[in-house]
Amino acid sequence: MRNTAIIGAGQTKHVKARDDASQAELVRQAATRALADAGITLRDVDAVVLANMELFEGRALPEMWVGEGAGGYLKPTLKIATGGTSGTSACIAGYHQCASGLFDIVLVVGWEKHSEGATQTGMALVDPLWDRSVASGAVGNFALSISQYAAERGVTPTQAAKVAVKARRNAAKNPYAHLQMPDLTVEQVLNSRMLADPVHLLDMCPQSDGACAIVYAAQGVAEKLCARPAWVRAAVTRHDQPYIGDLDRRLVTMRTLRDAARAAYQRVGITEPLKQFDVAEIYEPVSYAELAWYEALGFCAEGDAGKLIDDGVTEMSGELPVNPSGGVLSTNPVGASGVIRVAEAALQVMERAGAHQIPDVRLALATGYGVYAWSDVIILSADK
Amino acid sequence: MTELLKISHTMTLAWRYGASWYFAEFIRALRDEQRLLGLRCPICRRVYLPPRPVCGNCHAELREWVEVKDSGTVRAFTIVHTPIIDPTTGQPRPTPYGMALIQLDGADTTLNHYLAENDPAKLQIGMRVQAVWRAERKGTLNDIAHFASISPIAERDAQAASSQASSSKLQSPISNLHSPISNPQSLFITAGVNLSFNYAAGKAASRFLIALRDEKKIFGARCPSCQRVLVPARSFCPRCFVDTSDWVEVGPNGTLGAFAATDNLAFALIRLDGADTALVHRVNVTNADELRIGLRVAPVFAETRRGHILDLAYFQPA
Ligand SMILES: [Zn+2]
Ligand SMILES: [Zn+2]
Repeated sequence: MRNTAIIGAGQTKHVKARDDASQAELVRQAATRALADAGITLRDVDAVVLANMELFEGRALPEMWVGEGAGGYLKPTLKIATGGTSGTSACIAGYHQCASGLFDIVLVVGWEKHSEGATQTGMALVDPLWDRSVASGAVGNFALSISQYAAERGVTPTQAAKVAVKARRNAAKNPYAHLQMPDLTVEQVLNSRMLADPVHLLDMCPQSDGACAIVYAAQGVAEKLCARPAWVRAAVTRHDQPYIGDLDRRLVTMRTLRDAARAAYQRVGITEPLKQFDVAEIYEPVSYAELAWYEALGFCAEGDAGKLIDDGVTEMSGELPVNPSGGVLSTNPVGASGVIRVAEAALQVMERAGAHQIPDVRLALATGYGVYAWSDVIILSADK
Repeated sequence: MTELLKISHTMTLAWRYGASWYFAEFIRALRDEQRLLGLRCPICRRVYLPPRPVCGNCHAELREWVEVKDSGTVRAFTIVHTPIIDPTTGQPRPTPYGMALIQLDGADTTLNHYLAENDPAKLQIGMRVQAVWRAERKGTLNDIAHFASISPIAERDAQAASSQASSSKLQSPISNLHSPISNPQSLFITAGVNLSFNYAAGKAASRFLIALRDEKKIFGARCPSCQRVLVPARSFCPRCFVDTSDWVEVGPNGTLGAFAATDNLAFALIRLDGADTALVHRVNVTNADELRIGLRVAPVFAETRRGHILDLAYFQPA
């Protein structure tokens, strides 16, 4: 395996509906910006990896439709769809392509246009044997597991609301973020419409239109093109059993994230993640998930996640800023959301994050979360 | 500012899923005997309900049937307030309704199902619930309408009353279920859904379609790098990855580059005069013998035009 780094990232402004651009045009905007950020042209790119949940937009083989928008013309182009993890899975696939020595420069592009499709119905097309008779959508399924998590670990609706407020406050510093709610309060979150107990509307991520791209380069190429590349130090994926009833206390144990993190930490020598990471971009589709991920990622002991948010440890100015970009809670074009996590972590290492830049980032964590319990963990560093 | 068009499509999709022997056996017992059957893992001994053919933890095949009771313990719950599309009806499901992960007595996994109760104040993790069966069973998980709470006292009384009678009932009919199914019978599950999509055409395709609609003109866009005129007009050249520059009116006549005819309406690639790419469209002829590569064709526009590729109704021999 060769050392491989991210040398550029680009994204569109994420909004409720991008009526001015077709999907191919949306994808091209992100790809063009990533290439410009990396200081290369499409000619330099050896392969393209795409991430999208095609069922939501109802276009079979979207790689044929938007591949040209991502610059896939006459290049090896591959699409990955794994639910919420689509973006991080594509980033891991792109990393493998580059680190294996197969290609020197790989472009990864993720996108979603929820405004065009039938996301709700798409989410309902689950396991036809068991789940469809009793489906309750992404929110209902999440809420079930949250009830166990909250009961066992004692997190409160107020602590979850603080996560939602932090995300939206951070998003106000990110011009690409979808939800811009700088003055959101905990009371507003708690008073927003109940979707599924205990999840309020403002505890939940939005559905966005948007695209995001990153450029990988192998050692030898990366240093020539980028003054401060974001080196990939670990990239780990874990899947679990697919039936929600089999996932024992899903959010409480979150064994896929725990296991992926343990494997990644071991590779990089991380024993105190809260101290050693300078920033984290984690995939939190709902406020409570961020608290559960704190524990699964070892940021705190089990049961202490609420205290972490109460004490401001994960705020922009805290010991470990989590989601300075505003996270999935502020921006969620599903196929792009995982790429955004990796791109934002890379921008922090490359010192190109703009108004939401955290000072002196050398080690950054990005995670993906998909379907009921799939997890991706990626660690980026200023050092090889 | 260009008027921005959206292209709408509604699709009806249908599926037929093969559900295999374990589903067939579970459904048979549920429908015909009002009994719930789980499968036990030979390695970790966990009882899976609903049954699964493989234990994901041990990667072992599951063949040992175990009867599970229709009472259990709530391990997780929520009250859903936001309407979701019910995949069995295609319609939004009325809210609010209670959902729970229920560990049935005798099972090690939890079952995702509905609750009769929808007041969160009356629900708690660890509470005991009992299946409420529908009078008519059709062979789906919905043969259980929902689970209702049972008081500990009522449950104790019920157990005491039925302990002698049920012990023999539990043992006899289950014995033949312990052996592997020698003659596995599959069930099929059919499902269908209507999906609506509303695609943004984007600025370039909108302009192209508006020219069809308002002026009955066909436009291409020139790539400033390779100089090709791309039809339909689009915002960028996929080969050169640069924005297209000038808009060029092409046609209206063109030459048939390729065709596939099933009757007198052929699917065709048409190279319009002045274009460097082919337009995918259809050619209408009185006799399929007229079709040949190189045939000159002219467009026929629709009477009523709406900003759609079928504003160009079809091509016909020029
Ligand atoms: Zn097992
Ligand atoms: Zn060109």
